[in-house]
Amino acid sequence: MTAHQPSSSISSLLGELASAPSRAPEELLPELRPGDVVAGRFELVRELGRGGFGLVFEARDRELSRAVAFKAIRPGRTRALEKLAKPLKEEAEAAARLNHPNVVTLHDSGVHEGTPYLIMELLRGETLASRLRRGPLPPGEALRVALEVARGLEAAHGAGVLHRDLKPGNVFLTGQGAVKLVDFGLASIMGRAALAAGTPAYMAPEQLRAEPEDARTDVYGAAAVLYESLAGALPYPVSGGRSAVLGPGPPPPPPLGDAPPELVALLASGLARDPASRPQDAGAWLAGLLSVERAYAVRAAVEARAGRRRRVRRAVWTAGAIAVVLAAGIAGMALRARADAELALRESQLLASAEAASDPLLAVLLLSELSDHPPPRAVDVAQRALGGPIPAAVLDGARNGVALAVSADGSSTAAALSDGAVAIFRNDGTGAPRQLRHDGQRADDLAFTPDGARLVAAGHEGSLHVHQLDGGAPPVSLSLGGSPLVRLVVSPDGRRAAVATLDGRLVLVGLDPLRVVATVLHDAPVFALAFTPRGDRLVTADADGEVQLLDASSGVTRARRATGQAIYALAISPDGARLAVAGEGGTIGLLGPTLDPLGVRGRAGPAITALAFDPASGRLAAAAVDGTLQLHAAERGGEPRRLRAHREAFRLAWAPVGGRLLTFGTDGRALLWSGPGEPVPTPLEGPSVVAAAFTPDGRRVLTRAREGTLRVWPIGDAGARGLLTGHLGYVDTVTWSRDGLRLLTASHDGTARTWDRASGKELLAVRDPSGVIHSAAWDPDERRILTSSEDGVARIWSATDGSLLVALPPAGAPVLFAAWSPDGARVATAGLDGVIRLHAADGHGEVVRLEGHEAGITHVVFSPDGREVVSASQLDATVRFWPLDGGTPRVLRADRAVFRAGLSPRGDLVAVAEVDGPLRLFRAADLSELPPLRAWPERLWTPAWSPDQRRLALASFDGSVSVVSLDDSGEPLLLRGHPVAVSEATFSPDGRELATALADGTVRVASIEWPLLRARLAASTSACLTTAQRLHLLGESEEEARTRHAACERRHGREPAAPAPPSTVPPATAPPAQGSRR
Amino acid sequence: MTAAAHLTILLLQAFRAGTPSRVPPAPRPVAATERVVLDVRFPPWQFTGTFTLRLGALRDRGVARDRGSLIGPKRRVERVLEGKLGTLTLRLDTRLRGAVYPPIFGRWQVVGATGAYAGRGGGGTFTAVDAGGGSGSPFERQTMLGRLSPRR
Repeated sequence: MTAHQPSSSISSLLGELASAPSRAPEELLPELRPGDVVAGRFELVRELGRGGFGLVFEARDRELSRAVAFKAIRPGRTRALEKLAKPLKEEAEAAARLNHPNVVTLHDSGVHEGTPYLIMELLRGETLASRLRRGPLPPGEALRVALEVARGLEAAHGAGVLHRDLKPGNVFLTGQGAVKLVDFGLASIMGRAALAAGTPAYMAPEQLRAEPEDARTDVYGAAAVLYESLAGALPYPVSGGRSAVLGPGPPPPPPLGDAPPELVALLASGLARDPASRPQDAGAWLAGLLSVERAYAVRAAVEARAGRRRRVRRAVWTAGAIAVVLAAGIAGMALRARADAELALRESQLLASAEAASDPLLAVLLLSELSDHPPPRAVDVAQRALGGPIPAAVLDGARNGVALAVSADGSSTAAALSDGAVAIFRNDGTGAPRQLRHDGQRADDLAFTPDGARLVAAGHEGSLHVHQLDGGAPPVSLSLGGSPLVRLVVSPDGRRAAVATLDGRLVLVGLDPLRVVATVLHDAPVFALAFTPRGDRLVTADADGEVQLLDASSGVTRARRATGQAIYALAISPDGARLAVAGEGGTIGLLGPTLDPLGVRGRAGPAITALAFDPASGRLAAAAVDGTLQLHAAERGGEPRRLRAHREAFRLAWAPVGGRLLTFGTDGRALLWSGPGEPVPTPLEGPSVVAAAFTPDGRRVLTRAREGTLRVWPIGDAGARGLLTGHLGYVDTVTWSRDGLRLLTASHDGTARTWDRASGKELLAVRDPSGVIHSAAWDPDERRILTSSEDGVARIWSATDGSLLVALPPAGAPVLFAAWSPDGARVATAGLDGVIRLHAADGHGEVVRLEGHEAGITHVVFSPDGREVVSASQLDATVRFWPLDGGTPRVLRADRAVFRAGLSPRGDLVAVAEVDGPLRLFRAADLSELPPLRAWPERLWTPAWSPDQRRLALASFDGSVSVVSLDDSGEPLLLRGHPVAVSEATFSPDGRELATALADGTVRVASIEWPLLRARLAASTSACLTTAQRLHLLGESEEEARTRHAACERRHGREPAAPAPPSTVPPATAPPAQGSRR
Repeated sequence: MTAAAHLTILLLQAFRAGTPSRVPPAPRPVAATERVVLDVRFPPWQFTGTFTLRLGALRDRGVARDRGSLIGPKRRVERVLEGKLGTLTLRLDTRLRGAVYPPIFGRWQVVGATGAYAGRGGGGTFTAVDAGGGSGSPFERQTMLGRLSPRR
């Protein structure tokens, strides 16, 4: 039996642990094996490790089609729930909710047959402990890791969470260069001693003495980790299980002989025995590390200047006669050197801040500040920032409130403020918000009339306020008693409003003039109400489970239906034929237009708090309080699709034009779901969201953040962003058309598709009868498409209409690759039977067989002159050159598997990327090897040449793509923006973009040239860095920051706000006073 | 028949058990119970406040005291309402917290009654919201709706 639960209820999990039967861990854990499926969802792939806490598997989340880490915890290792102090339980809950780039993400948790488990982000790479076994880190890298650790800690401390077990084994270095803290909060759950496994090396003195721990305990751990990273040794040796930190000995020596004084001082304080002498929290520790980083940067700048001066002095010494002539130039060079160093330092800091930003918008704004020639990794950081949705505008001035309404024409958005005012923003981000005021408290709900002329506000104090928007007329108010008005809807014709009060009244209000038309009493509050699409009826559902159908003109009840459960949500299908209600019991009741029962969907379970019909397909979406999104088919019953959406309860809305679904939860996240079949969520990353809505045209989403801003998100632009979606399985190959305007892809979903590069829209799809296509290629005229497939047949299709033109004779084994000859007259195929076949493209004539490979062939290509065929075998680790004039084949044997042969555009070179090995380069004519290229030596997969033959793009199954120059100049470009394995990366015809084919069925197109990326960064948003961000992140002076912020605001049509005086008003959501009873 | 199908039929029957549709509105079968509305106010983050009661023609007001917490692990409160006409002791159970507005919703029932309320039973639903002053306390204003039986 499996109990599945959201991760936020970790203390509930602990409860399960405490009540689990006391069996020996050995009795439980061996039951988990690769191939097992836990909770009907997590398929265990392979064991990654085991430790004191239990087992870790790589697993596949079948619902979300992603790889995750499955951590099974030994129940015997956990503390009983009742033994956990309340603060620790709360801390464990908070740890589960930590969401930071430097903290591993906890997705989920549950109990499987008595074994509790955690579902976590799957990390690939190694722990710092593993890395340090090969020796200390270079100072720059050690400092970078320490900074990332400190950022993760700072976020955790800000959330009231201590790690308590910082050590190199809990610092993970991913293959993409990220640093992640793992096992956060587990120390509090499992007990520090259990995790420390008997080594006190990284424990602060107060921990060793079992004294109270606080943020300074983690600071000690972070300092010990940094010390060991630099020195390769512990700061305080451990002897006989006892750490020298408990003794009276001297403090540790400096970790490096040439450490800057800032580093020595910081480590001395971080490792102080007395917590009072250490930096008091992670924020202070981080500040210290940043000062050390600056010290190193200044040192580098000084050394650069000194080197230049030395060179200049030598020049002057040997050419004294012309010293006077050169003097001016020397001075200029020195000045330029200093300016260069300062610019390099600023750019480095900017990039580091952009990389660390958890909000992609901030990353975009910081990257926009970079110069024309930033460090190479700016390309990678910019690609990643632009890979997801970026808000086109940020509207400031919506603090302390929740209610949100978008006008019918989508041009403006109203946000209720805590002081009773309503701010109206222009959604294009220009101008200042317009403030509407009425007497009374904040509005709990808002609605525009359909003509956009009025805004109706439901006041918390019990009055309805109507604002005229087309003039300066004061609002008209109508008191409806003292009970808060919690639900408000306006009729489709704009003449009526219906308001639900907390004391159980439904008040039907006429808006012309403003008056009460009818009041309908309920025995429980009405949580759901809606006008029918024609506007002649009003449906209400209350917390006693009664549904009422009212006449919208008179308020007279026409029908009632008792459902037996408190109803929280109601939805009416666009045609008005069906009505869905749901609530406490978790089932959905379907009713007809007169409330006649039509059926029940779903089964009893967690309460449902939101419902909506998809206007396009009629599907019904339901939001359950456990964070699960249910999608019910339009017509038939049966089980819905259940998708993990949020950690807790959430709201939802379909786009008015259908197809896309917006969800936003109490976890502060907003997700946009789209895609055929099972929709895939795209997070709208940014500050914690409290409300969200589509614009009526469905082309934009408005989110309201707790911090007081609104964000305007253009949607449906994934294709324009370079994300091509539509394939339902692994994409094997991606090819550009000669003009660079189209792409051709082949997928294991059995289709080959062509795409418009600019819009990302699919142009054509051919469907292979085998269900799996391994490769696709245009002929030289781009009139035909050649595919190779699992059923052993290569097929030729019309590139115009997708019709099948020729099915070549079958090979008898899967064909993994097929290629056109340069003249388009012949086709070469290669497959698992180890034979290359040469066919006439019309399907007639004799098939020529080229045999010699000792195993299956994974790649084949014609040489540019058409006189040879080159093949590669992943299975026999060879690349072979087959002269078509009957000459002897040349064989290049590699040390490891070779998936593809990287024949250069001119055909004179071949790049061999050995899987898990180095990149090697050979001359095609004689197979002599050229000097090795710098490339990431691990996890290589496929090489592809740039059209000018000066660069190579290397795809990797760890999700990275590297671009190296043939002349080995400059830093290789490492692109890490792919969430899954990349099967191929190909250059656009102009060499300025890369298209990548991914294992998750997507194709991504991104520029690798900074000017193009910079233009996209600038065009992506009208938001500006705030003055405070410029001050703190860019290091500008206050005046400079203010001036530049104002200039940016004006550039985007906004008048910058005057500097605000320091606020003395306490926040509206102040926590309870210490010791209060609640 | 599968358990799911059986459940579906039961639920359909439950839906059909309601008042037939297309029937003109009829007086609801309220038996002899009376609609009650209780407005309970607490100062921010406090457990002692005031209440007003409307029960048919009856009006009362007085002091409200809570034991327990609507958002604690048990999500249960015993509420004592001491009015001029008598005392009502109620038990409140939170059913939904933070998922929709209002932030707290639950059910209540009478567990004790004295004075003018002696012999009355019943219960209903309640909601809790802040008073709009910015304190952040979601318990300041609680509206309790339901029905009470007449005195026996």
